[in-house]
Amino acid sequence: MFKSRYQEAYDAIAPSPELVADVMARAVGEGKGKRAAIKFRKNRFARRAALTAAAVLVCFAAAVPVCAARVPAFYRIVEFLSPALADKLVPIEESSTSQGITMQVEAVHLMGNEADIIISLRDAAGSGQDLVNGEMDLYDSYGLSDYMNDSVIGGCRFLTYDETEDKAFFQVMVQSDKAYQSGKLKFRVRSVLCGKYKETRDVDLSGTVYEADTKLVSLSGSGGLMREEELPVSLQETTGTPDDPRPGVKVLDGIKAADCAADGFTVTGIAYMDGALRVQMCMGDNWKSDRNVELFLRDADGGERYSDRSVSWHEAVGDTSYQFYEFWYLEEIESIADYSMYGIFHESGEMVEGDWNVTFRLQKD
Amino acid sequence: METMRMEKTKEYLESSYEETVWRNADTVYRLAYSLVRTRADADDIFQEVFLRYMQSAPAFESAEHERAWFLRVTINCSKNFWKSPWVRRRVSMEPGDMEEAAAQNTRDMGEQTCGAGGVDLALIDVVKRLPNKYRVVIHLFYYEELSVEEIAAVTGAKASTVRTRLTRARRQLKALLDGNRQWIKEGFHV
Repeated sequence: MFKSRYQEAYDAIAPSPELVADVMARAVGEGKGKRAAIKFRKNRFARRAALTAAAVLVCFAAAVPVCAARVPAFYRIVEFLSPALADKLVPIEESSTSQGITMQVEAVHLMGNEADIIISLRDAAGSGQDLVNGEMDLYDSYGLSDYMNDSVIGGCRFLTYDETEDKAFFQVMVQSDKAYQSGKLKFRVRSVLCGKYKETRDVDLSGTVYEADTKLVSLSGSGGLMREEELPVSLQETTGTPDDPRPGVKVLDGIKAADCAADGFTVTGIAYMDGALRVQMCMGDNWKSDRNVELFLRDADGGERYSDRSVSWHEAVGDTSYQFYEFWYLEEIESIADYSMYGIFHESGEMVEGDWNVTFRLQKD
Repeated sequence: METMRMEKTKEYLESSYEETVWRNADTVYRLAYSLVRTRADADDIFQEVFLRYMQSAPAFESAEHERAWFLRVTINCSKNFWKSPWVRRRVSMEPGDMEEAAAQNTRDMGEQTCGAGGVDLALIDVVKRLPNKYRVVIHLFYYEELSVEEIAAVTGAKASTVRTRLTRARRQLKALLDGNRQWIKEGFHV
């Protein structure tokens, strides 16, 4: 988690013993505050003059002329995002076509048991379809193997859609248990989400009620800026049962899952109770998609913020499992009319399942 | 209970300068370092804060009072630092941020700086790319573990403003960290 990482990082930061000793020494000359201050300023000037000189030297040493007359789109993109990575990439440019989509492994950088892979997707020539036309997602369906060793963990980052080459570019980062052996490697993708898009829409708060029924649900997730113990008692989680160990919480008893759109977003309830604005939303059948939403509460001064905490759970109707979120904003809202809300709604688009495999060789260093 | 509180208050009133420095040195230095780019700059702010303490000699009523004073003064000193003509000129003279480039170079060579390991240093660097007003709230919230209301009291901002800044900081941080391989691999969520 970010908090523990951040704390660990800063635990390692401390003033040097010399600095503390210097500050302590001032205590001796407490009555000579001005003199100490003058000495301090002089030290600072000397240090900064040295720093400036060093910076000028670095500037000269690092000035390398760059000539980029004809470079592939992937290289321009990666160069822009991460010059250090661009310098290390080895061009591959091998492709595989499935379901009318061509995946090309553009370049690779192997480093022990880690690999960075730049790939592109485009509509295959002659396919007559237009699936690749903007943001996409590989749906965690990628992997790299050297036939002895397979990737076990990874991350994927959509870089951009390049209209000139009609390609969507990704950076895939994978890690395996053992170091990859250069030589024959295979990169694979099993499914892609096409037509991802996000839309910013207002959420109407005018229908906010101040009393509403609640129901107990078993949570599939919860989180937020505010710690659970800081929440009003009515929003705190209850412990699970032996049959269902998941924690529970009382959420608004809003629009039923059966009345929600399976393939869209539905606001299922808005209430202000116990000092919290509660906005409930059904995300539809999210097992087959990757929908998510960010809701921002905006005050009269234009200040906007995320929810203090949110919870999620699932409700089934037949074979369809609907995912729900409830967002909580703890605020002393005397007049809800002074507040507005908007959301950034992320739609996953269409999933295409296929079999994209690219085998390539890397020379040993 | 009342006796204990009075004894605690007495302890703070009677603290020597050295004891107060020891108690607050790490807190001040870490906050200062989170708000500036280099250790040399953090050193300057550290000295400035304790110089102010020495000159104003405030009497603290409690540990919370003392901590809040040092946090507030460190933030104020950092603001003055950024306003100083030297820093403003340095920024305009170094659009590529030579110090950052040099630090990056050091990292590429596999060396460690600031006493932190590679991953930690990378995280600190990412947070340092946020605007100052966001770095303050991130540090106070995640490191000092202050509540939104406490951050509002220390920074002099409204609680709603602090929430807004935390929201925006987290959003920017997420975007920055999405570009950082290490965190993506570990399934990082801000």
